[in-house]
Amino acid sequence: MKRNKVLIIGGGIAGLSAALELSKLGLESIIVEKEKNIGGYASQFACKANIKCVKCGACIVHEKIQSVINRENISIYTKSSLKDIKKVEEKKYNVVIEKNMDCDSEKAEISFSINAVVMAAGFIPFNPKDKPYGYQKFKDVITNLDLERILKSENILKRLSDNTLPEKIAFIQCVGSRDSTLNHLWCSKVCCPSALRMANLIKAHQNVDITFFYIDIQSFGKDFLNLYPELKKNMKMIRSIPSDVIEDENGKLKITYFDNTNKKSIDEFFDIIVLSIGITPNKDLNNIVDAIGLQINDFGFLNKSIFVTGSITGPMNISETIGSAGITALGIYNYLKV
Amino acid sequence: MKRRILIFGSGEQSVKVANKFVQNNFEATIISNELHKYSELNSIKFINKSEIISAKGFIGNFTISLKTENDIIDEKADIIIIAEEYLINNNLYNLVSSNFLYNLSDFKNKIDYFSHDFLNNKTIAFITGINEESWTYVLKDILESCLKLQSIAKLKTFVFTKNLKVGYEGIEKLYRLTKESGTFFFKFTDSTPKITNTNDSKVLIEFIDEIISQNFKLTPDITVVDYKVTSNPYLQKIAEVLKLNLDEYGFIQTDNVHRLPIFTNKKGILVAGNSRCVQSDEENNADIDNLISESISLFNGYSQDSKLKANVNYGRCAKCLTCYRSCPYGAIIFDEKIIIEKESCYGCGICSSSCPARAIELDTNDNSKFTYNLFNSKLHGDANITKDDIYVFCCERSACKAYKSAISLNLKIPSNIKIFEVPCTGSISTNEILYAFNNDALGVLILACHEQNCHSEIGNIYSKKRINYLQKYLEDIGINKERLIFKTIASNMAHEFIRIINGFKEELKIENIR
Ligand SMILES: Cc1cc2nc3c(=O)[nH]c(=O)nc-3n(C[C@H](O)[C@H](O)[C@H](O)COP(=O)(O)OP(=O)(O)OC[C@H]3O[C@@H](n4cnc5c(N)ncnc54)[C@H](O)[C@@H]3O)c2cc1C
Ligand code: SF4
Ligand code: SF4
Ligand code: SF4
Ligand code: SF4
Repeated sequence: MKRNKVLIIGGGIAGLSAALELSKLGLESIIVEKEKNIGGYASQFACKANIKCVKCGACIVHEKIQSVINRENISIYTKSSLKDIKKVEEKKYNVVIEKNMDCDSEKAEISFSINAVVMAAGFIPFNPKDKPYGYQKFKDVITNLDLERILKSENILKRLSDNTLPEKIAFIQCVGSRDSTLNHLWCSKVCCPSALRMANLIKAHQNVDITFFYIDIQSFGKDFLNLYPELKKNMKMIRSIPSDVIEDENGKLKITYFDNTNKKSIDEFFDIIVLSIGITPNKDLNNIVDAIGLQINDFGFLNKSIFVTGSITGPMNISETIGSAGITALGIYNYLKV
Repeated sequence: MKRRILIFGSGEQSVKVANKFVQNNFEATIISNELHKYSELNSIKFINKSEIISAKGFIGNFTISLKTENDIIDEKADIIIIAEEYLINNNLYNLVSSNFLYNLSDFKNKIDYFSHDFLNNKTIAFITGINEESWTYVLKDILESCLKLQSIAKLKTFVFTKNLKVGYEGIEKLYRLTKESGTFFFKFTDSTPKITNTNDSKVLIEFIDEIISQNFKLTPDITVVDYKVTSNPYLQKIAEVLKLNLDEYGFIQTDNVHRLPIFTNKKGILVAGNSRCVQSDEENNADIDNLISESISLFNGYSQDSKLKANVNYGRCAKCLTCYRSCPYGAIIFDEKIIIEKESCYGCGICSSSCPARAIELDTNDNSKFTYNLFNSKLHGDANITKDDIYVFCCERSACKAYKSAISLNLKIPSNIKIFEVPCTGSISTNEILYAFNNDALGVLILACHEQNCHSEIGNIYSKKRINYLQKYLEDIGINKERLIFKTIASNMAHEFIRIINGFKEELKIENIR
C-alpha cells in the first residue's frame, strides 16, 4: 500500500486522538496547530480528584500529548496554519503550511501533498464580555475556563483583585448557552459537570460557601445518580439566572436574584463569581471548509462526517471527542484503502 | 485467512457490530444466550441459546467453551467483543398497570398505531426524572412523542420533570419547538409531585406550580412514565468466565478513564454500547467504529505491548496462587503450575510485589531503551545517592508524567530527591521500601494515581494498604513513621507534584526526623 498522508487541522484532543488512531492503522498524519502547544482547551484543565478520581478526563489528554510526541508517523507543526489548499485530483491535495506565524523573522512556508484532510479545529469558548456580568471589568469575575487554569497550578483559590481568601463564591451557569437572545439554542453540556466538579474540589480544600445559579443540571458520567445528591448537599442551589453583577465600593460582587421559594428579590454579595461559559462554533475556517466541501449546520457547527472530528461539530466532552476520532480514523482508513 | 471475531449479544447492537466487522473483512460470529432476534440473517453466523462456561487463551488465540441446547462446543477467536443489550426497568413510580398508563419505551413505538379519534381531546402527561434524575436520550423520546402527538390530533400534552436534560445535540432547540407547539412543561425544584393511582386505576398527579405557588390535581387520560436502564445480568457470567472487571452497576468496563472508549482489563476483549454503559444511539455507533479500528490496528503490526513482562522463577514458586488472584489483567493462569500469559501481561508488577516467595520478576523486552536497575524501577536524574535523599516512587502513568511536565515547564525541582519510575505503585514491595530506609533514605514518598484512575485498577489501593501497614512496622523497629508517606496525583498536575514534594520535605524538617 502506498504510504498515505493525512493532514489534521487542529491539535486539540480531537486532532491528537485522530492522529494516534490513524497511526495505529498505519497511516501517516501531519498535525497543524496554530498555538504554541498542542492539546487544545482540554490540556489546560485541572485534575478535579479529591483522593478519588471524578472522571473529568483531563489527565487522558495529557497522556495523549505525550504519546503523540513519541510517535514516528505523526509530525506536528505548531504555531502554524494552513495557508492554501488545492485539490489536484481525487484523494490528492497540495497544501501550503505557514510555520512560526507569530515571529516575522522565522516565518516560513512549506508545501507538500496529502491524501485527505481532517478538520479538528475545535470550538470557541463564549466570550462573556458583552454580558452584564462585569467580565474583564471586575477582577473577581472569572470564567470557568479561567478557574480550570487556576486550579491546575494552585490548590487554594484566592481573589485575583487582592489575593485574599474568598468566603463566598457563586457560579452562574449557562452563560452564552441556551440563550435565545444570542440565538444560541444549544446546551454546551460540559459546563454543568465542569462547574460542579470544580466547586466540589474547592470545597474540599478551603472553607467557602458556594452558591450555584442554574436552569437545569445536566446528567453526566456513570455515577451521576450517586454523585449529584452529594454535590448538591455541599452547595446552595438556586434555580435562577441573575440578570447582572455589580461591584460595590468594598470590592464585593452583588448579585440580585428572584428567590422563587420565598417569592422575593434578594441581594447577595460574593467574593468571586465564576461564569460558566459554553461552547460556540469555530467560524474562522470557513475558507477551508468551502475548499474541501464541508457543510455548516443551523447552529454554525460543522456537520458530522469522517473528515470532521471533535467539538467543531458541536458541544462534546473529552470522552465523546476521543470516540468521534475513532469514527474519523476508520472512515479515513477505508476511504484511502480502496 | 480472515481474523475471527466472537460477539456476545442478543439484540440489534450485536448485529450492527457483526455487520460492520464483516464489511471490514473479518469473520463474525454472534453468541446469544437466547434465540437471537435476528438469527435468520445469513451474512453472520449465529450460535443461539448457548451459555459461556469457560475460556482460555489470549488475543489472537482465544478458545471459548459454550454450552448449547444439546452439546458443549469450543469456538476459536482472535478478538472477543461484548455487545449485549441493556434491560429496562419500567416501574419507577410504583403505579398499577392499566390502559391509562404507558411506559415511554413502548409508547413511542405505539404512537403511529393510535388513531386520530382515539387521541383527540385527550390529556397526555409525561413524567420524567421525578423520582430519579433522568438522561437526555429519555427527554429526546418525550419531545419527539409530544411533537408527533400534536401533529396527529388536537390534544393536551404535559411534561413533568425536575431537571430538563437538554445536554445533547439539538435537544435544546427541540425543547423550544415542543414548547412553542403547545406542550406545557412543569419543572420542580423545591417540591416533588405526588404520583398515585385513583380507585379506578387512573393516574393522579398532585403538584404545586412553583411559579404561581398553586396546588393542582391532574388525572390524565394517558400517563407516560420514563424508564431506567440497567445492565444485562448475563454480563456477570461473561465477566466471571473471561476475568473482566464490572463496574458497580454491573456493566463491563470499570468507571476508569483509562478504559475509554472500548477497552476492558483484558487485552483482546473489547466492549461496546450498552454493555459498558448507558448512552445514546450515536455514541453506541461511535463505539462500533472504535471496535473495528482497534481490531484492524491490533493485527496491522501495530503493537501496544508493554516494556515489562512478569517472569516466574519456578524453583521458588510455592503454588500459593496469590499472584493468580491478584493480577488485574487476567494474565495469570494455573495449569499444574503458574503460567504468565505474556500476551495479556501489562507488566504492572503487582504479582511480583505480592508473591510471598519473591518468585516473580519483571523483565524488560528491550534492554536497549531502559535499564530497570534498582527496585524494578528506572531512576531519573542524578544517580548519586546521598544520605539526605528523599526517594520518590512515581507511577509511570501519573506521577512520572507530572514530573516530566514540571521539567518541561521549567518549574523548580526540589533538591535531594530521587525519582524512581515504576510501572505501577502496586509493584513496590515492602522489601523495596525497607531497602530504601536501609540505604539511608531520609524519606520515602509513594506517588500513585487517584482512586479509580489506576490503569491496573487496584495497584494504588494495594500500595496504600501496604504503606499503612509498613508505617506501623517502621514504628516498631524504631524508624519514625512520618518518613514514609503515600499520596495520589494525576499526570496533568505538574505544580501539584512540586507542592507535594516540598510539603513532604517541610514535614520531614519539622519532624527533625533522624
Ligand atoms: C470551561 C470548560 C470546561 C470543560 N471541562 C471539561 C471536562 O472537565 N471534561 C470534559 O470531558 N470536557 C470538558 N470540556 C470540553 C472539552 O474542552 C472539549 O471536549 C475538548 O476541548 C474538545 O477538543 P477538540 O480537540 O475538539 O477542541 P479544542 O480543545 O478546541 O482543540 C482545537 C485545537 O485546534 C486548534 N485550532 C483552531 N483553529 C485552528 C486553525 N485554524 N489552524 C490550526 N489549528 C487550529 C486550537 O488551537 C486547538 O488546539 C470543557 C470545556 C470548557 C469550555
Ligand atoms: S480523570 Fe480528571 S479527576 Fe480523574 S485523575 Fe484524571 S484529571 Fe483527575
Ligand atoms: S451544561 Fe449546564 S451550564 Fe452548560 S449549557 Fe447545559 S445546562 Fe447550561
Ligand atoms: S505468588 Fe509466588 S509463590 Fe504464589 S503462586 Fe504466584 S509465583 Fe508462586
Ligand atoms: S505483571 Fe501485572 S499484568 Fe503481568 S502478570 Fe503480573 S500482575 Fe498480571
